[in-house]
Amino acid sequence: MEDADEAAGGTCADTVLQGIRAKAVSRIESEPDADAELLAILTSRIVVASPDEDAVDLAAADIQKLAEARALP
Amino acid sequence: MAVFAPNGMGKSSLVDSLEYYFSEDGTLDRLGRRSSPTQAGPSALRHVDAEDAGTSVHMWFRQGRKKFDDSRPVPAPFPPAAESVLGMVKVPFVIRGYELRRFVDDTSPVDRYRELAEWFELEPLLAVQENLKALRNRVGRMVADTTDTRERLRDLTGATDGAIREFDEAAVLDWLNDIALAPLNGSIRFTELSADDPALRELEGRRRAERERTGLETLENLLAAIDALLGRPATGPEGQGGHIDSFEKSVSRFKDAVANEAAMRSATSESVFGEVWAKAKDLLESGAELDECPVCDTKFAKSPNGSREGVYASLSRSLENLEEYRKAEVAKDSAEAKLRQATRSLGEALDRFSLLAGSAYQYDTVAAYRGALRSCNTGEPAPDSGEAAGALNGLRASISADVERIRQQQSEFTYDAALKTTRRLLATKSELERIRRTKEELRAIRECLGRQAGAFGAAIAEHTGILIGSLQDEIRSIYEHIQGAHAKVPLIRIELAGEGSYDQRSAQVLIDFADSCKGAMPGGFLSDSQIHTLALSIRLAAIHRFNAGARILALDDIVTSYDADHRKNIATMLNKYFGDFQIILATHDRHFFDILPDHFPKNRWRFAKIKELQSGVGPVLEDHLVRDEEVEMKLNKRQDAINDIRKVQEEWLDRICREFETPTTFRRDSNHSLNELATSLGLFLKNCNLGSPTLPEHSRPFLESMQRSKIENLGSHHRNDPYTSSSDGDTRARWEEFKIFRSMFKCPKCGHQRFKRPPDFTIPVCAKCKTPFSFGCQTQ
Repeated sequence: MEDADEAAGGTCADTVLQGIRAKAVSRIESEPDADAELLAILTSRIVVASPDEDAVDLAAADIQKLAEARALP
Repeated sequence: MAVFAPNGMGKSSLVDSLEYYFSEDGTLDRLGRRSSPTQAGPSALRHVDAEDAGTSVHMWFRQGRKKFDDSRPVPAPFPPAAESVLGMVKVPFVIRGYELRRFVDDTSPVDRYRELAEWFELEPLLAVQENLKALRNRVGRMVADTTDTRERLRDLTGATDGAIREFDEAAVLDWLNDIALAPLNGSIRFTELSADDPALRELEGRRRAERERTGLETLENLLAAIDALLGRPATGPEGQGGHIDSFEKSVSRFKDAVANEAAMRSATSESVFGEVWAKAKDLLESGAELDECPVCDTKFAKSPNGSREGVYASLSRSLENLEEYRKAEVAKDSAEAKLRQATRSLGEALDRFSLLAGSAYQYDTVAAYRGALRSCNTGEPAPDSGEAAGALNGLRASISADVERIRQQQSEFTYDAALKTTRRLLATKSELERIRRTKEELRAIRECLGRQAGAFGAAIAEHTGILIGSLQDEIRSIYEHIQGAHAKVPLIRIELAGEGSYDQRSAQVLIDFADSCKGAMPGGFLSDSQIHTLALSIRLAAIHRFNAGARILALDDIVTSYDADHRKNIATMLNKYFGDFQIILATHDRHFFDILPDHFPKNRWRFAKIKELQSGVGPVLEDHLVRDEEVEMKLNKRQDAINDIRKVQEEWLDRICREFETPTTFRRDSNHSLNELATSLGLFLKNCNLGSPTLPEHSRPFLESMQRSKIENLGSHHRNDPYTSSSDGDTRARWEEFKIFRSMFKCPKCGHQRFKRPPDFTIPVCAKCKTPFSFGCQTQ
C-alpha cells in the first residue's frame, strides 16, 4: 500500500510538473544552440501548473513578437 | 457482499444504485448522459417511478475516525458525501463484465492515454502536451499564413496600375524606369530598388524644383497651416478639431473646474479638521466603548447629532466632502495645465500661418485675433474667433481652388507623382522583405519549438512510463493469478506511442505473444477469456494501486467464459489483492457463487440470493425481513397488508423459536408456516410452565389465534372460501394485536428482546443480562 500511496501522492500536479520541467529545461539548456527566449515563453505560458485558458494564444503572440523583433534589419 | 440471482432478477440494480450514487451526472454509464435515440440519460431512471416511490440511495462512510453519510433520492444532485469519496478515487470502481474489454480492444490509443492520465492524475501534464501540440500547430499556421504578403502584393499591383502582380525586383525596376520615370526625363533611372540609389535623391530634387516653380509648395504649406488652426473638415465624422477649437474648449473646461472647486471649497471650509475627523471615524469603527464624541468631547446624546450613530454619519459625510474637494482641486489644476498648453499651441500655429502668409495674404482679422490671444490671461474668457475663422475658411477655399487648378494644368507625368510611386514601391519592397524575414524567423522558432516541446514531451513520457511500468507488474501478477500457474502468461505492456516525438498522447496495450511475435495487439492472439482476464487485470490493478483512499469495488457479472478453475482463481485473487476492500459482487453464475464461501472469510462477507423481483420494490433478498415500516406504510395507504403481516409474524416466530430452541418437526432451513411456528412455541412455553400470554380483553392466548391464522389465511390463495377477503379494519386490528403480543417477549429485568438458551438450560435467558425469561403479564 505504501507503493500505491507513493505513486498516487507522487503525481501531485505541481511537484511532478516542476520535476519534469526542471529535467526538460536542463536538457534544452545543454544544447549548444538553445533558444533561451523561446524557452522562456514556453516555461512562462505553457509548462506551468495552471496555464491561462488562452495560454496558447498568448504564447503564439509572444512568438510572433519575438520573430518580428529578430526580423528587424 | 456477494449476491446471486439468475438473469433478469435485478441483481445489477444493486451495483446500479452504487453507480448512481457516485455519478456526477445522476445517471448510469450504460444509460448515457443525455436523451437520444440510443441513450436515455438521467430521465431513464425515472421511468421506474422511482421519483413517486421516494426511492433513494443512502450510504454511510468511515474515514479513519470520521463518519459521514448522505442520501441521494432519484433524481437529486450530486451528494456531498459522494463528492468527498470520489475525491479519493482515481479509477472507476464499478466494473461491469460486459464493458471490460473496452479498454483493451475498443478504445482509441488517444482515449486510452487520456484514461491512463486520469488514473495517474496526469491531467496537468496532458494539458501541457495538448498545449504544446496546439502551439506548434499554431506557429505552423503562422508560417503558412500569406495574408500580409497578399496585402502588400495588392499594394504593388495598385502602385503599378495593375502591371505587376507578383514581386520580381527586376520587373518592378523596369516598370519604374520605363513607365513611371521615362516620360519625365530619360536621365533619371534606378539601378536598384533602394533608397540608397542616387536616382532617388535626383528625383526628390526635381520634385522640389517642380513644386516651387508651380507654387504648389507654398500653397500646400499654407493650406496645412490653416488646417492646423481650423481642423480638417473631412478627416472624421465631425472633422478633426484645430487649435482654435481646442483652445476654446480648454477655456470652457477650466472655467467649469474653477467653479466646481470654488463650490466645494465653501462646503469644506473646515478642511483643517480632516485628519481629526478621519481618526475619530476610525475610532468609532473600531467599536471602542465611548460615551462622548471623540472630536468635541460632548456626550453623544447632547451633541448636535444626538447619538453615536449620528456622529459617525456626520463624520462620514464630512470626510466624503473633503475627498470631493480634493478631487475638484486636482481637476482644476489639470484643466489649467491643459489650457496653458492649448494657448501655447494656438499661438505657435498662428505664428506659423503669419510667417507663411507673409505679405501676400494680410488678414487683419487673424492678426487681431492673434493680438487678443496674447493679451488674454488664464481664467479670462476666450477672445472671439468668429471673424478670424471666417477669414481663414475663405482663404482655404481660395487656395484649394488654386492648387486644383495648378494640378489640372500639369501633365499626367510629374516628378511629384513619380516620387510618390517610387516611395510606394520602396515601402512595398521593404514590407515584403520584413515579412519574409519574419517568416524565416518563425520557421527557425518552429524547428526549435519542436525540439523544446520534444524535450518536455520526453520528460513527461519518462515519468508516465515509470508509473505505467509499476502498474504493468501488478497487471501481470493478477493476470497470472486468474489464468493459473500452468498457463502461459505473455508479457503485457502498455506502451506510449510515438516515442521521441513531442506528442505522445496515445497508449497501446501490447503483448509479447512469442519470441517471434512481440508487441502484438491482444485481440489477434488471445482467446476471448484471456482478453477478458487481461481487461479485468488492468482495471483491478489500477483500482488496487490508485484507489487506496477509497477501498470500494463493485463487480457486476465479471465471470464469463470461465471454467471452474478460473472461477476459483478469481475468488482467491480477490481475497489476496482486495481483502481490505469493501466489495459488492453480483453474479448469475451459481457455481461461482457457491465456491465463494470457501475462499472469503464468513465473518466479513455476506452471501445473499435474490428470491424475487417485486414490482414497486425491486429485488428482494432471500433473507430479507419485512420491516414494520413496510406494513405500516401499506396500512396507511389502505393497501392489502395481510401477507406482509403474516411474513412479519413468521419471521419473528422463526427468530424467537430459534433463540428459545423450541422443538420442531420440520427442517429448520426450509420455509415454515405461521401455524407450525406458533404451535412449536406454544408447546415449548407450556412444557416450561411459562404459560401463554393473553391480550387485554381477550379470553384465549394470542398464540392459539396465531395457530388458527384465520385472518392471515384470508390473504392466502389456499383459503377455503376464495370469495372472502380481509377488511382494512380486521387487518389493522390484527397488526396491533400482534405488536402487543410481540412486546411481551422482553427481559423482565432489562427489557432486552433477544434471548438464548444455553446448553442444559430449560428456560431461555436474556441475551444481554442472562436473566431467565418470564412473562410480566397474565398468562394461561
